[in-house]
Amino acid sequence: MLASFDTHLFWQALSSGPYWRGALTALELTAVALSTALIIGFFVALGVLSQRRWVRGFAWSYNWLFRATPTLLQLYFVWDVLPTLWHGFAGSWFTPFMAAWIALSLNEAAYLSEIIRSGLMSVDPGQELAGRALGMSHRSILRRVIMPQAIRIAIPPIGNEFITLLKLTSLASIISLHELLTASTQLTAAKFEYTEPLLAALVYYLVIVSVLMAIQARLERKFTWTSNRRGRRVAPPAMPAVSHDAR
Amino acid sequence: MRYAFTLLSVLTLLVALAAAGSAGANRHSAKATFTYCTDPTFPPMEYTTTSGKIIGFDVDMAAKLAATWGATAVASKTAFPGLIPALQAKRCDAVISGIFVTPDRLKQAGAVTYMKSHRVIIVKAGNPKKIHSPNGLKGLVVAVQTGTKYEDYLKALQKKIGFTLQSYPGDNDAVAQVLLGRADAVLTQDTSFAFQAKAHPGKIAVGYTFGAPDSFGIYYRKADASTLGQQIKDGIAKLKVLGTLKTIAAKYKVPAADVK
Repeated sequence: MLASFDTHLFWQALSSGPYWRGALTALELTAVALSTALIIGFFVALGVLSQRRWVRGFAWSYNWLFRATPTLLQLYFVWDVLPTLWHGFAGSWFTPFMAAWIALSLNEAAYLSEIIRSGLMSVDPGQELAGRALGMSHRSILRRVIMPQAIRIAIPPIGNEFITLLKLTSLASIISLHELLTASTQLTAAKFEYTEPLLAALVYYLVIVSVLMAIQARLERKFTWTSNRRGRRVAPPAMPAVSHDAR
Repeated sequence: MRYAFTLLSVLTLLVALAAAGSAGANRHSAKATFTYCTDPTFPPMEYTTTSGKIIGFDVDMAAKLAATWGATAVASKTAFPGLIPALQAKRCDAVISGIFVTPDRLKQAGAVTYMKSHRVIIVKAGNPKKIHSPNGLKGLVVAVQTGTKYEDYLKALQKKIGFTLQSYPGDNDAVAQVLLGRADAVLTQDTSFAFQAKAHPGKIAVGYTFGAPDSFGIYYRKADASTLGQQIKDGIAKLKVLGTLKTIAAKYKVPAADVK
C-alpha cells in the first residue's frame, strides 16, 4: 500500500549511519573476497589445465567441493564448525568479516577458475607454439601472449561474478556480520515497517551495482586494443585532419 | 456452436470460482482457525523438534487459548524482527513469541500480558570473565538475537562502556556462541537459561539477573481490540484461574510464579 508510504522514514534509512557502514562493509568484503578468489581461481584454472595428473585431480576436486555445496552452508561451516575442530578459531581475532572473507573467497574461486580457464583456452594453441619458436619461456608466454588475450574474454563474466558476490555478502548477516541487509532488518524491527527500510536497501544495492557496471565497462575498453576492429574505427586519428593553426 | 461452447465453459468456471470464493469467505468469518506468528528459536517458549515441528510453552498455551472460543491454533513461522509487521500485514491474527510488552510496540498493536520473568546474562560455567553486572561486559564479546529488546539494550550499553556485539538470527544461535567459546556472554531471559542449562548441563551459568521483570505478551491488531483482543484477554484470565498456565509452565520447567 503506497498510501501509507512514510517518506521521512525512507530518507532516514537512506542517510542513516548503519546503512552507509553496512554498504561499505559489503563493498569491502566483495573487493577483498574477489581479489583473493581471482588469485586462487587463477591457480586452480592452471591446475585444471596442468599436464600432471595429481594437480589436475586436486584442482578438479576443489571445483567440485565448492560448487557442489551451498554458500550458506560454507559460511556456517567456517563460522560454527571450524572452532569446534580447532579451538583457536573461537578467539576474538577471528571476526565475522574474516570468516565471510574466507568462505566467500573459497567459494568464488571455484567459479572464477572456470571463467579464467575458458579465457585461457580461448587463445589459439598455435600462439604458444609460436612463442616457443621465438625462444620464450613458458612463464613468459603465459604472461605476455596468453594472459592479455584471456583477460578480454574473462572480463564480462568476472564483472558478473563481482555483482553476484556483492549480493552474496548479505548472507553473512547470519554469522553476525553487520552489512547492508542487517541494517535494514534492524530498522524493520525498530520501526515495525518493511516497505521503507527494504526499499532503502534496494536503492543502495542498485547504486552500488550501477557503479560496478560502469567500472566493468571502463575495464573492458582498457583491454580492448587495436586487434579489435571496432575499437580501431572509433579510435581518434593520431593527427588532426586539419591542423588547428590552419583555421 | 464453438463460441457457445467456449462461453459455456467460461461461465461454468466463473460459477465454480465464485462458489469456491464464497466457501472460503464463510470459513473465514467462522474463524475456525486462530493463526499466530512466532519465531521458534527461543526455547522453551517456542522452538522446533528435529523434524521441524514447532513446540513450546507458547504453542501449548495458544492451543488452550484458542479452544476457549472454539478455534484451532495454527503457528506461522516468522523471523523475530518481522513479527509485528507480519501482524499488521494480516499474515496472522496475533503474535505469540516470547515477545516483551513495550511502549513502542504498544503504539503499533494491542497486547495481553501472560507471563513475567527476568532478563539474565548467561556466561560460561564458573564465570571465568567474572561478569557480575552489565558493566562487567566491558571489552568482552557479547552475543544476542537480532531485532530484540536485548539487542536495543546492549547497543545503548555498548556506546557507554564498549564491547564487541554479535547479533544472530535466533536466541539459540546466540547461546550456541557461548557454548562454542566464542562469545563471553549472552543477554536473554531466565526461561531461556533454564532450558539451555538443562540441555547443556555444567556448561553455562547465570552471571547476573536483572531486577525489574519483563512482561511477555500476546499482540493483536488494534482494530480487533473489541473482538479478538477481548477473546484473548478473557481466555488468558480463564487459563490462569483454571491453573492451565501453571500446568504448561511445569511441563517446560518455567517457574510457576512467572504465570501468576
